[in-house]
Formats: sequence, structure tokens, C-alpha cells
Amino acid sequence: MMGSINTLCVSLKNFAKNKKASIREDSIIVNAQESALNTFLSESDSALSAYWKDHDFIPGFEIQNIDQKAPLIPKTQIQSISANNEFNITILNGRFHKQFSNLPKNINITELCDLSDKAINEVFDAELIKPTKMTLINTALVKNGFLLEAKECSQHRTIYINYLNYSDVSCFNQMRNVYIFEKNAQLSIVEQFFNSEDQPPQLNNVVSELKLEDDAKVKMCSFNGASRGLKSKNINNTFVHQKKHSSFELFNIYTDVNWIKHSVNIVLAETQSNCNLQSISLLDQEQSVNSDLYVCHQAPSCVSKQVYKGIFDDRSKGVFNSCVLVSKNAQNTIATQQNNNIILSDYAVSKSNPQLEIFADEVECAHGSTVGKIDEAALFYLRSRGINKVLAHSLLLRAFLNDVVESVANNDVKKLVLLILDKKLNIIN
Amino acid sequence: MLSVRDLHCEISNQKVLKGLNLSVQPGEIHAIMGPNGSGKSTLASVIAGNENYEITDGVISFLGEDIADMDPEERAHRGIFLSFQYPVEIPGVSVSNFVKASVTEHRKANGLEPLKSGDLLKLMKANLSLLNMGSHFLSRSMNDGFSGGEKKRAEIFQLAMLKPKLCILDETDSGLDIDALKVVAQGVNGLRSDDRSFVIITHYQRLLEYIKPDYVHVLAGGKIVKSGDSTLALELEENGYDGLY
Repeated sequence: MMGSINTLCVSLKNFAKNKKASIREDSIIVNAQESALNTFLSESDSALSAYWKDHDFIPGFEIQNIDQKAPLIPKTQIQSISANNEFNITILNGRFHKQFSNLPKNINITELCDLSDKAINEVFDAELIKPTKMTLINTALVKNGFLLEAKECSQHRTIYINYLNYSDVSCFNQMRNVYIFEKNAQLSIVEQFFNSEDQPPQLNNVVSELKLEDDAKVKMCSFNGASRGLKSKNINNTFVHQKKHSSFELFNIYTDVNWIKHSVNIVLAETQSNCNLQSISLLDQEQSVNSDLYVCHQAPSCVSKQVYKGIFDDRSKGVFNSCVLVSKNAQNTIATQQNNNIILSDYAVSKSNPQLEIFADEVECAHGSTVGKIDEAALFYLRSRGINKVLAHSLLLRAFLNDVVESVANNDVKKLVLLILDKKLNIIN
Repeated sequence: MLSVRDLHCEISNQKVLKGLNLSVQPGEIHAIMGPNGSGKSTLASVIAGNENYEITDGVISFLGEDIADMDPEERAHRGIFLSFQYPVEIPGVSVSNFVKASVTEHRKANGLEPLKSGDLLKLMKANLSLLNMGSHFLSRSMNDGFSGGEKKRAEIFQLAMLKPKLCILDETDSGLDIDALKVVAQGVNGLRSDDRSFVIITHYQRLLEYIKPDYVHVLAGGKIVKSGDSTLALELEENGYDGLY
């Protein structure tokens, strides 16, 4: 089991030796990828092992493959998923399939392998992407991904991105997705994941870059559920850059996941831009969700908000690490960080670490974090009305998550969220 | 209907009730008054089944059954209702869903078929209007952002929906203005019947002008030290509790 990090390093070194370009055989990409790979490998094996151990990255299974073809996905399966929504993008085993997708007029998708030189530079934007170990590996090895360009639009549409993955061996999968929202573009993106049944564990490492021009309005919703692979581990690295008057909303729901580490990095680069990050974790068994947030206020009059709520049962684990940096010229910043957790068992773990680093004078910043049990007084109140203990418990957990659910503006998406929650909490209406 | 004999109870090792006796027959209205900290709310909580209190001696029986070991929901199903002094706010659970769950559980426990949605809604609207509450309350979160008066009226609304046999009103009048008090009293009086009893816990005589009690008891030092008819309330208003314990 622990051989995995050594296997990975050996594979990576061979990869470097054979100078196998991942995306294309041209110098821009080859150089970027080689450089990233060398940076990653410049650390000693023992340092890498220590890093992975400290960060709980050890996959727990043998990484057999970095570069592997996946079996075909039955057409009926694809169609049954893509038919559900008016606008959708279908990604099969990491590849965009136009024939199963339906895009609104203002959206264009290009796969990484088909990008122009100019565009490929956006993809390997070293300034926006923090060079962490996982983003370096992603740069070094990535083959699959897309560039989504959204033009100005008067209508706010919703597009579903459905990821179907049918690998039949354990793979270390990289993907890099870049979203460019032009001035006045607006879009809601809903991500859903579907895996084959009994799929062997995958280690998925995804880097997403979102660039919002002036007045762009973007909402992103991710349904991280059982369909992400019951034994798989997912590392998501999201980097967002916002220009003036833009707004970005991110909503993540985690239920029946295995192990996810999501790092979200937002730069509010210009004035009057705002971001709102909301999340629900409802975990049990040995499930684990680690959220690592970083929001940088670089300009005045920006607003950032974070509400992360978690309910942890059995031996599950939730980590909330969040840093909000307010730079010296970011006057009139409004920043709030809120993390609330309920622990349902003696062995569940919740770690909460909200941090504010404030260098400006005229700001309104607040943070708060709670970890506790269900309110006994509320439980008694419901039971005194004849509601049995189990249902009372579920109703209170559902109530605890209410403000995050309400933050989802799209009614169809909200209904999906409620369906998942009510099923998980055994609330039958 | 309710028989409390020599009840002793404590919380966090502190003795609160020290040999309390109370007997309530069907159709009766009993008022319980007394100084702060005497154990009035404790009595209400213990009858309703709050597990934070430990009964160390004595018996509570309801309709002939010893209820000391029954869960709060079981007691509710049998017909005990407690109107809370401080109703709990439950953001995220709407009034209609809360009452629907409550009514459904009651009917299930008593072998009755669930009410049709339409009928339940009609009933809820009717009972809300009896308490001068608009039907917009149904979609609001339970007690969330309600004024003091609205919270107390919402308690009586639940009482009207559940039609319990024994209604314990714990300081229902505290924080109410005269108009709200009249509305609450009207609601309660509208629910009086030969097989329904009320135990009204209050500090002030004011509510008892609108809901005339059959008996008034003084709870002091953890037990009932004096009982009388409704004139006792007026006496206490004049002379206070001094000399009674």
C-alpha cells in the first residue's frame, strides 16, 4: 500500500527520461511540462514521502498507471445522462464529446490538444496557479482538459458538465480545465460525476482555472457524491481571478464521498468584485473532506463570504482551513468566514482553522467557527410535539444546513440538493 | 387525569422538587403560582418528559399510567402538551412542516389515518386565524424571528392543532401585551372542554382574569404549600408570597 509514492516517483522519473510530451509535441507545452516535472522531482524521495504522509495524501492503493486508455462507455448510459438537461457538456474518460453535448450560442469548448499557441499560454498560467506539489504534477502530466470560453450574454443560463469515468484499472488521472468569462458574460455551471460500478480506485487530480473579466457573473455547483467513485480520492485545485464588478459563487455538496481535498484560491484583483463560497459536508464511515480556502483581497470595496457547514458521523473527518488576506490598499473590504460543524459520534473529527490577515485600515472582517452536538433543547421541543427522536434528529440536522441550501439560487439545482439531503437524512415528506 | 404524588426531582445534583403533590381531574383548570426558582418550570418539564431532570422519588401518573419512564414523544401521543416558556427557534423547518410532522406522528401513534394534505392545510389556516395569525406564518421557519407574542401564539396554535388532553402552559403570559394576552386567552378558552385539563403556570394574576381557574396553587421551595380557589390569586397579588413558606 505504501509503495504507491515510490511507484509514482519511479513512473515520473521514467516519464521524464523518455521525455514523453503529454499534450502536444511543441516547445511551449514540452518546456512547461518538463519544468514542472523537474521541480516536483527536485525534492528527495523521502521529502516527498513525508509531505504526502503529513498531508494524508497516501492513496492507499497501488498507482499502476499514469497513462492508460479507459474502456468505452455504453452509448445508452451517456444519452440517459445528457438528455436530462437542456445545455450540457459530456466528458467521457477525460475527453470532450461534442456529439453528446449541447452548448448555448455564447459558449465555446476547445480541448487542450486543439488549442492555439496563444490559448495554451492561458492554460499554463504560472501566475495564477500556485506551484504546489499536486499542481506541478498536473502541469507535468496533464493530457486531458478543455478551455471553455463564455461570451457576453443577456441571459443567465445553466450548463451541466457531466463527467463519466469508466477506467477498469487504478489510474492517476490529471485534468486541466480553463474557463474564460468575457466582459458581461454570465453562466451557471453544475458539475456531476458518474463512474462505472465496482470501479477500481482512482486518484483524480484536477486543476481548474476561472478567469472573470469585468462584470462577469459565474455560479458553480458541484455534486460530489457516491458517483465520484466509492474508493477514489479526488484532489481539486481551483484558481479564480476576478476583475472589476465580477461575481463568483461556488457551492459544493459532499455526501457519500471517499476522500476529497479541495483547494480554492480566489484573487479579487479589481474593485467591487465579490465571491461567495458555500459548502455542505454530510459524512459518515471513514469519509474525509479537506477544504483549503484562500481569498486575496487585492483591491478596494470587494466582498467575500464563506459559509462551510459539516455534519460528521462514525469516523469521518472534515477539515476547514481558510485564509483571507486583505492587502494594504483593499480599503472598504467586507470579508466573512463562517464554519459550523456538528459531530454525531465519538470518533468523528472536525478541524477548523479560519484565519484573517488584514493589512488595510477601513475594513469589516469577521470569522467564526463552531463545533458541537445537536441542540438538546431543540430536540426536546420537537419530541414534546410527538416527533420521534430519530426524525427530530434528522429535522434538526436539515435545519442546520438550511442557510447554505438557501444560498443556491437555481431552483432546479436546489431541488436536487434537497433530494440528496432528505434521502441521506431519512426525511420522507 | 394527572396525579403527582410526593415528587422529588433534581438536575445536575441540585434538588428542585421536594415532595410535590398535585391532582388534576378532566375538565379542570389549575393555576400554579410561586416565587422565582420555586420549581414551576421544572414541574412542567418533568411532566413533559425532559430527560435532563432525574426523578428521585414519587410518582407521576397520567390517565392511570405511570409515565416516569416514558419518552417525551410517547407522553405527547398520550395527550400531554407543554407550551414552552421559551419556545425554541428552528430555522430551516417551516411551521407547516413542523406541525405536519407533529400531527402525522400523533395520528400514527393513535392508530389514525394521516390527514389529507388539503384538509390539514385548511385546519392549519383556520387555527392560525383564531389566534390572529396570517397564513403566511406557515411558510416561515418555526419561531425564527417571531416576536415574543407571536411565539406564544404559535404555541397555542400547536395546542389547537394537536387537541391534547392535558395542556401545561408555562408562563404563556410573560412578555405579552394586553391584546396578545386576550387573543391567547380566547384561544385557550375556545379549547376548554369536559375532557381537557389545563395547568397554567404564571407569575401574574392578569392572565387568570381571562382564563378563570378552578384551583390555584402556590409552589414554593419545591412543593405546593397552599391551594385554594381563584380568590387565592387575588390574595397573592395583594400580599405576595411572604409567610407562605
